[in-house]
Amino acid sequence: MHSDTAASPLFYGRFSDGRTAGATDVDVRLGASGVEVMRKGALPLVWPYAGLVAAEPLSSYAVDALLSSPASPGASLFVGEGLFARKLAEKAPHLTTRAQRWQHAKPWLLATLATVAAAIAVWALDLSPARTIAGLLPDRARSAVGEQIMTEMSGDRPQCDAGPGRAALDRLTTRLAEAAGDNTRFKVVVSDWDLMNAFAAPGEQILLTRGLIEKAQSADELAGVLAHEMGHGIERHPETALVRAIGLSAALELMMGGSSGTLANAGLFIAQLAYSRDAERAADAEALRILAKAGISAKGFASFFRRVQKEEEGSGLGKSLSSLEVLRTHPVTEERLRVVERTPDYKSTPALDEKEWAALKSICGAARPKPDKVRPAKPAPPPRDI
Amino acid sequence: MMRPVVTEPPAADASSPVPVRLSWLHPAGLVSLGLANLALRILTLNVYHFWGETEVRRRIWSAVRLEGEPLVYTGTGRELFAGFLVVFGLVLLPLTLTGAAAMALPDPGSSLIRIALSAFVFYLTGVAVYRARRYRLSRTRWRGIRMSLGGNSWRFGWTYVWTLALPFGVALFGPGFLAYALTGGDRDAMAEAAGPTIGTTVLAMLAAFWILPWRSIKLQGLLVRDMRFGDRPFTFDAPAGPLYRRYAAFWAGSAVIAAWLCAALLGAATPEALAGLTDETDTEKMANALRFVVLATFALGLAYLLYYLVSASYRAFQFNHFASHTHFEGASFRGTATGRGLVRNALGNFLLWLAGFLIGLLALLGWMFLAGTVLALPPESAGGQAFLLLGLFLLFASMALFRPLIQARTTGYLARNLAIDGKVPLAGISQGDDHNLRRGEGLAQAFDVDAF
Repeated sequence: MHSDTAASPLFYGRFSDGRTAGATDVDVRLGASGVEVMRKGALPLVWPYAGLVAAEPLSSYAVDALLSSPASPGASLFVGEGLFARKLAEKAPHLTTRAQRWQHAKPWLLATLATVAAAIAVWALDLSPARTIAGLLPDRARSAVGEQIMTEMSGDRPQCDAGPGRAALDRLTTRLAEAAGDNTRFKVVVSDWDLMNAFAAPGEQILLTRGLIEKAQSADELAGVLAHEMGHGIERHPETALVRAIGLSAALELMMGGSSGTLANAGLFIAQLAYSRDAERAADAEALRILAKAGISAKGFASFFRRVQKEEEGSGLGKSLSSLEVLRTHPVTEERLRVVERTPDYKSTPALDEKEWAALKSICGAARPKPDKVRPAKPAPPPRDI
Repeated sequence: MMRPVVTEPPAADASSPVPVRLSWLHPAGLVSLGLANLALRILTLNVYHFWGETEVRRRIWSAVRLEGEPLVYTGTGRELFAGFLVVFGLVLLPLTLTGAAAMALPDPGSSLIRIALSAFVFYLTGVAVYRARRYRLSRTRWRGIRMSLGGNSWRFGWTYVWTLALPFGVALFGPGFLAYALTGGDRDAMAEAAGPTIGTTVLAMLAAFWILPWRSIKLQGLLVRDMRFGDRPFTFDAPAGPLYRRYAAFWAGSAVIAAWLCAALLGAATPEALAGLTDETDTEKMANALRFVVLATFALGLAYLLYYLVSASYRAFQFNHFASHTHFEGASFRGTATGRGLVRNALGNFLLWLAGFLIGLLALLGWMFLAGTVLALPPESAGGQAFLLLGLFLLFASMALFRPLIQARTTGYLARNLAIDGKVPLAGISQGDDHNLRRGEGLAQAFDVDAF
C-alpha cells in the first residue's frame, strides 16, 4: 500500500467518527495524495488534499489542526502539533489564511470595482438616477409626500391666511403659474415664522415665511423668489433631493451592516441640505423665463439677491456658528447675481398693485416684530434656498 | 481497493462516563486579522465584513478546548450576509420607512405609531437574542457532534417583553390609575393627590427593578433548557434566592448613583445654563451652555463608570450562579468569575476600542483633508458627498480594528473561569437533529445583540 511514506514523519492524532462524541488515538501521515489516518484494528483512511476542510485557516501561528473530509462524512481528525499544520499548508495550500481570504473576498472586490466604475460613469456622463426616479413618481404620491414635508417644516407654527393677503398671493401665484405653462398648479403656503426663508417641497408646493415677506421691499422682489421656487418645482428638484437622500441612507445602512442608526442619519442630514449649484442655476433660469413671460421685471429679483448677499457678509458670530460652511450647500450668490442682473430689460408691469402688496404684507395679521419664541421645526431649519 | 469503513473497535470502557476538561488556548495573530479584515472591508465597501466576522469566530471557537480538542465553528460568511440582507429588506427598511412616515402624521396618531414601533423593536430584540444563540449553536461542533437550540424564538421574544413590560407598566401607570379610581376622577382631588401619586410612582418604578434577577433566571432557563449537545439536553435549575441576596447591594448602589446623578444634573441645569442651548446669538450664553454640556457629559460618564463597578460583582456572581446550576448528563459547570476580573477585562477592551476609534478619527481627518485641500472638492457636489460618506465609513470600520482581540479577550475570560465537574458518557452521545437553518443571525446584527 503506502510504500513511499518514508519522507513524512508520523504524527499523533485523535479521530472521531462523528456518530458519537468519543475519540480514538490514531497515527497520521502526510502521504503523496492525501492525509493518511491509521487506526488500530481498521483499514487506513486516505483523505485527499483537494477536498480537505480545516476548522480554522492554517496560519503561521497554527499550533494544531482540526480536519474533516468529504471522504468520511461527519468524521474529524485533530492533530495537536504546529509542525503538522505547517507541513499540511504546503500540501494543501487552499487551507491557508491567505488563500481562504482571497477566495472569499475576490467576487466582492470585483463587484466593488464594477460599482466604482459605474459610479464614475454616472458622474462623468451626468446621468442622475435620482432625477429619473423622481420623474417617474405619480403626482398623487408627490403631493402626499410634499404635504408631509410642509407640515414637518412649519412645525407648530400657524399658517397665515388673512383674507385680502391670501387673495393677493393667489393672484400673484396664478400670474406666475400661467406664465410657467404646462398647467402646473402650485400650492403656496405662508408660515408665521421669523426666519427669512422660502423653499419648495415635492408636488409643486412652496412654503414662504413671514420673515421673508416682511423683508421683501416690493411685490416684484417676492415674485422673483416665488418664481425661483417654482423653478425648483418644475425641475422636480425637491423630489430628486428626496430620492437621493433615501438612496444614500439606504446605501450607507447597507455599507455599515445595518447597525448604524446615527451615522446613517448623519449621512441623510448632509445629503438633505439644499440643492447643488447646478440646481440653483437651473431654478434661476426658470425664474427669469417665468418672470419675462409674466411681464414682471427681473429687477426685483436682483435687488433682493443683492440685499441677502450683503447680510450674509455682515453676519455676526451666532449666525456663522449656525451656518457652518462645510455643511452649507448654498451657492455663492455673486455669480448668480451677475446672471440675474444681466437680464435685458423688457416691458413689464408691477407684480401686484400697491393695495394688493400692502394686503400681502399683512397676511399674518398686522406686522408685529416679536422674537421667535417658537422652537425650530424637528429637522434643522433648512438652509436659505433663494 | 475496498473503501475503508469508519468503525470503532468496541472498547470495554467506551461508553462509561469520563471527566471533560475545559480550557482556553488564546489565539495568536488577532491584530493582523483585524488589519486584514479592515483592509478587505474598505476594498469591498463593507461586504467582506461577514466573512471577516466568520474568520474571527473560527479562531475564537477553536480557542475553546474540551479535552484539548477545539470547538469548531462551521458557519459561513455567505450565511451571515444572506441573514443580513433578508432582515434589512424585510424588517429594517420597512420599520425605518414606517417610522419616517409616522413622523409626518399629526399627533396622537404619530406618537401611537412610534410607540407601537418601539414595542415591536423591543420584541424583535428578544427574538434576535434567541435566534443568534440558535444560529451560533447550530454552527458549533465538537468531535463532529452538533450543538442545537430547539425551542421557539417567538415565544422567547414574548417572555422577553412581558417580564419587563408588565412590572414597569404597572409601576408607571398603577399609582395614577389608583389615584383616579380613589378620587372618582374628580379634578381637584386628583390635583391635591398629585404629590403622593408622583412619589408612589417613583418608588414603584424603583421597586420594579427587583423583577430583574427573576427575569434573568427565567430567560436563561429558556435558553439553557432548549440547548442540546448531540442528542442530549442541558438542564438548568437555578433558584432565584441567592441572586436576590446579591442584587440587594447592587440595587442600593445603583439607586445611590442614580440619585447623585439626578441631583448633579438638576443642580447644574440652571435657566442661565440652558438658555444658550436654544439661543445661538449670544456668545456668553453659549459658553454657559457649553460648560453645562461638558459637566453633564462628565457626570454621566462618572455615573456609568460607578454603575459598571457596582454591577460587575453582581454580574460575576450571576455568571457563576448560572454555571453551577447548568447540568449536562452527569456533569455540572462551575464558574469562577470575579467582579475584579470582569472590570479588568472591560477596561482592556475599552482601551482597545479607544485605540481603534482614534486611528479611525485620524483616518477621517486625513481623508477630509485630502478631499477639501488637495482635491478641492466642493462639499455640496456629488463627489464631495461621496467622499464624506466614505470618510464616515472609514471611521466606522476602523472602530472595529481591534474587535477580534476584544471578542477573544471576553470569551477567553469566561472560558478560563468555567470548569466542568463530574463525568460525561461521551461515547454514548450521538448526533442530534439538524434544524437546517440556512441563514445567519441578521436580526441580532440589526439590533446590536450579541450572544456573549
